[in-house]
Amino acid sequence: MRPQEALAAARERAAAARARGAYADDLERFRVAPAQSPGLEQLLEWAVIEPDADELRSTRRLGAPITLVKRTLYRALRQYNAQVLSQQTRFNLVVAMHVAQLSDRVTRLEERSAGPGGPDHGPR
Amino acid sequence: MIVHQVLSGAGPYDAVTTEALEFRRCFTDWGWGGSDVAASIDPRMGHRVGGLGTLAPAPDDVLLVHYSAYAPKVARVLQLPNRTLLLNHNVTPAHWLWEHEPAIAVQCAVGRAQLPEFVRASDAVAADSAFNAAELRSAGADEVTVVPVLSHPERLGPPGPPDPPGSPTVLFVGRLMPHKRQDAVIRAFALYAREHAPDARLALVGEPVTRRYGEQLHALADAVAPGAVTFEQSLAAADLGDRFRAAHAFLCLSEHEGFCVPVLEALRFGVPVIARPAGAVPEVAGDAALLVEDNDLAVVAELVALAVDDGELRAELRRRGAAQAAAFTPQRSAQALRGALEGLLR
Repeated sequence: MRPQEALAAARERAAAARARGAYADDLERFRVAPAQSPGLEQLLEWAVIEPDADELRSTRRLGAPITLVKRTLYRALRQYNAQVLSQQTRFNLVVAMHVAQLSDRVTRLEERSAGPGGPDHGPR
Repeated sequence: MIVHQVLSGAGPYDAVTTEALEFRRCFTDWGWGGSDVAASIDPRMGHRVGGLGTLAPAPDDVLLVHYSAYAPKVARVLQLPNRTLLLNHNVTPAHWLWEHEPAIAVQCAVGRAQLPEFVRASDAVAADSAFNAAELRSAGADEVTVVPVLSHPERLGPPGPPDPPGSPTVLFVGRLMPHKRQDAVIRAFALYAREHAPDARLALVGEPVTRRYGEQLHALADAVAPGAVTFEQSLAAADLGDRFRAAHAFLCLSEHEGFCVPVLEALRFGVPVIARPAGAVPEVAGDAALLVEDNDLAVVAELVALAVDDGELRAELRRRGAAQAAAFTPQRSAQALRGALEGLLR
């Protein structure tokens, strides 16, 4: 088979296989998808900062002791870190909620503007 | 000539860093001096790359800025009075990363947004593919030199036998990142193994962007193709060469590539390539790969089966792969690079 014929052949073979019941397995599970335009719900989820302590590590060849020191330091500073995280999270959430309120106001204004009695429909 | 290279980040298995070090070898061969610095450096780099703070160019020195992500301190380099060449390696679109690695997503989002500013502040611009050159033109560049990625084929050793012994092995090489779509590779491989080759193996080589992301891919592999998928990282060049020599097919379902060196390496090794025609992949692979846009992974699985089992197809892909790879010689890249840098002084 020549390379330029392979894709059409593969499509035919896949269709034929499906017709006899092949490729029926459910392979859903972890699936990556682009976050094109994060919605408000996603924004609110991201606003709450939850760093993963497991990612706190050293990438050096013999980095285990460094990882241990980093994690010990992290535990020792937990109280301070919690304050920083809570203050940043508070700011993020308030901003996200303001965005939501502004979005609602814009929507209402657009609806009012487009509806009966709005600027587009009133006497000229 | 004195050329200082500026990178946003440097790591031992990072393609941009690897190329910058290759450039340095060229500069040394040409009798040029200079230094290599980065805004952030992986500790495993040792002293091969210096910190950005050590950059102290003389007025006549040339700066080569490798642009692959935003780094706040790199922008300051453009304020220096030196002649500057900007080399665009492409910045991954942030929408692939928001969910999994917000910090890198921020760097990418800002990096893509600031590209026009970097273009304006540079004396000349270059890109390692026509795809990346088009992005530079969209960012306001008039004249863009294409400097294909400089990689030495002998680095990984010679090609292996046309039909490697052992059970069918599918390979993908690339950092474990969302836009590289290793999740789709695992799923397509699982379908192929179930329908065609229960003893098939999938080898994924690359460092995970985060430990959690790596664990998610491991869990997927354990669920859909238990025991058949191996994950490796930090391979020495000889070991990576062995993976190519043992592979029956190279499967790349990446959704965004500024060049994709592993595709070129697979062609050099005579391994049949099945790939998404994303970003620069079509220009790197030419007519030597089986390009597939279909989202139906059963079609991808069937292409893998054809690439593994059809002797005539394998032979033709091997022949075309050798011809395509021959067009990407290190000499051609080095010549384009030298021309772009010397052009700064005219």
